[in-house]
Amino acid sequence: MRMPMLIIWIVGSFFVSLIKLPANVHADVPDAIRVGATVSVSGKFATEVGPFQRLLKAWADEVNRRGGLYLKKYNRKLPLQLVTYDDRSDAATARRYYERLVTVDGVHLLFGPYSSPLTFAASTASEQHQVPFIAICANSPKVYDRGFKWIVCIIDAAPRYTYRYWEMVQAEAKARSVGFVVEDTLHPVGVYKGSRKLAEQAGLKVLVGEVLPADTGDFTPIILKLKKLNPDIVYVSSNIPFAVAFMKQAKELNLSPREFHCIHHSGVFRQPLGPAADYVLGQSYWEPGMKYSDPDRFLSLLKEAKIDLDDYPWSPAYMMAFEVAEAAMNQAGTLDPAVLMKTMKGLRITTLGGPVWFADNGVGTINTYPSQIQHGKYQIVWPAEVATAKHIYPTPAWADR
Amino acid sequence: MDLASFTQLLLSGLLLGGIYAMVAVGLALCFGVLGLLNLAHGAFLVLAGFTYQAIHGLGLLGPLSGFLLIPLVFSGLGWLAYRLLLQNPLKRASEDFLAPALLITLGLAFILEEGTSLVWGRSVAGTISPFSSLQWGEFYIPGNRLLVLILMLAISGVLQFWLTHTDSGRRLRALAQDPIGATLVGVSLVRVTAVAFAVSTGLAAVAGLFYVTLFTVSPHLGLPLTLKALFIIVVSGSGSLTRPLVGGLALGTVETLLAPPLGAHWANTLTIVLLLAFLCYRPEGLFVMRPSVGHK
Repeated sequence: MRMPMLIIWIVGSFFVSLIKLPANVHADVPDAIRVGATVSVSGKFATEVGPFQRLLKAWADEVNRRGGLYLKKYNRKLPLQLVTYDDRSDAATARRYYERLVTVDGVHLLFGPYSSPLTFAASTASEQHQVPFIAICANSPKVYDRGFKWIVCIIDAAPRYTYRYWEMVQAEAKARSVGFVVEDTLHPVGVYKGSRKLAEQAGLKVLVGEVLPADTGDFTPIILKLKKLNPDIVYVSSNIPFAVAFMKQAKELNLSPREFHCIHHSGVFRQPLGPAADYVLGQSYWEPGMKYSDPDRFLSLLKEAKIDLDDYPWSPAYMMAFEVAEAAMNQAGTLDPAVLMKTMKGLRITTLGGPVWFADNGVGTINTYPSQIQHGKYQIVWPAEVATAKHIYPTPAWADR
Repeated sequence: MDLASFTQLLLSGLLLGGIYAMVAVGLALCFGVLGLLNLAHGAFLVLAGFTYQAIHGLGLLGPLSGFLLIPLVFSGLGWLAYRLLLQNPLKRASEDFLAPALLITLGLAFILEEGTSLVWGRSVAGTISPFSSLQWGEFYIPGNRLLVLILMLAISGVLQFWLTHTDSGRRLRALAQDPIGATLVGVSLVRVTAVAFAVSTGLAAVAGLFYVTLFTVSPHLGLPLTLKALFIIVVSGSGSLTRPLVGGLALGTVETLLAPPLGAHWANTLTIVLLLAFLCYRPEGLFVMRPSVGHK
């Protein structure tokens, strides 16, 4: 081949390749954004998270009604396609299903399962296959201390779970001492360890810190100890059944500190206790009256999913995960896993529960706000810019209610 | 520990024992007397607790009518469960009820647990007691716990009277001692065991109603409660319906008194060690006289 002909051939090939380029891109456009998750529809977590399958569906339906999410690389809106399985509240089952979601279902993005133990197991699949994974209700540091690169978590680490409460206690300077009653399970113990340090940093004297088995039925020994030591704050770091049983017996044995703090005090806590739940402080991710992001959208999704916020107070964390997923895909403009993950790690947005960004290990910034049950309603009492009511302190004694 | 704390702990332990005994007495009727281990006992208890909370929450029944009606309904459920699930397998087993009953009631326990979880869709049920605490000097006696203890004394007495002084009770004991012999003299295996199972389920419901006011119940609490009741029966010995009361009181007191010096974890561990020790060295129970073995 002579030189001019060779040049013509090379230049011609170049132009032909340019002409073919859009066609190739078109062939790579996915038909949908596949989002995978497991939900504990059965097993021990079913009562805490089972209905969230409906919440995921409500979110996907709502996005799809708007035509899907726009991704710049494909220059079009793509619908969301949800793939969910029941992990039966079991870590091994969750791990197996996340493996399947990645290898068989070919999902582009994963939402984590409920709880730290399940997330610990499930996230190994996403790490191995390099698929972005958004953990939601899993804040044990053990999950994030493994050096994983493909995980982010919406909520802050367990030891900081109640840091705003201790900020408030320090700022108010009314309480001087605290006694901890702790349920011996992963999350409550993690919260206790962090809270104890935070309480000391806030200038409080820790009079007792007793870790009790999760199935403790009779609290008389610790209640008698607390009555003797008389701390200003009795802080119960536990799941709800433990806290309800403790509060009942505290009333029966007339334990009247200046404040009860039960880290989980949702509707499932309030309803069995009735008026005895009044004045108890706890932690909320979001309560009506807070102005961040789009509360109406969240309430509308809850309504569609038939979920009562009081019964499922961690549902706002799911909404924030949806907001993070949408923002990450919007900013990345592609479903390329590496680009999506990098975008997510660099994200800074304001979600329903406030501003969120992620540390190097993936842990997020969303944290709870101290909220107090006042006449059967939940009121955020700190910080001032978010508060929906004033903090009532001290709590009236049982005899004066 | 000062005397006042010790006295309050002792009182609380005894009162806690009352509810333990109430949980155990229904199981003792089936297992201790009849040899039929009902692993769904705790699941029935939990279901009764959730039912009471729902009815109470809706304002459909007052506390008293709820406490009367729910055990009756649960007795009917127990009777139905027996006729539908246990009757035929147990007839075939004729002498040894234990193995088939174990498998069937374990399945029933899982169905009841998942059903409770599915229907209520929440993790916990509990209500505040309608009775306030009694104050005696510096001591507090929770009214509902005191009522449980008094009621438990009455239930134990009535059940023991039924077993020893009525025809139906005697038929039950005859069946327990020698099923084939009892059947040959006209005792109806099906009818007697169905009645025992129904009464046992009704007692589980009574325990559930009190349990939900004293503590909380969650759908998966059934099997642990059944095991606790089994522990009381093993320790106190089978064959009598007053023994669970003594066993329950002993367990409640030991647990409560050991918690401060040992810690709650060790108190629970010690309970399990005691169970193993009883199974190994005194399987007939603490309060049963050993037959004297004379030298010939």
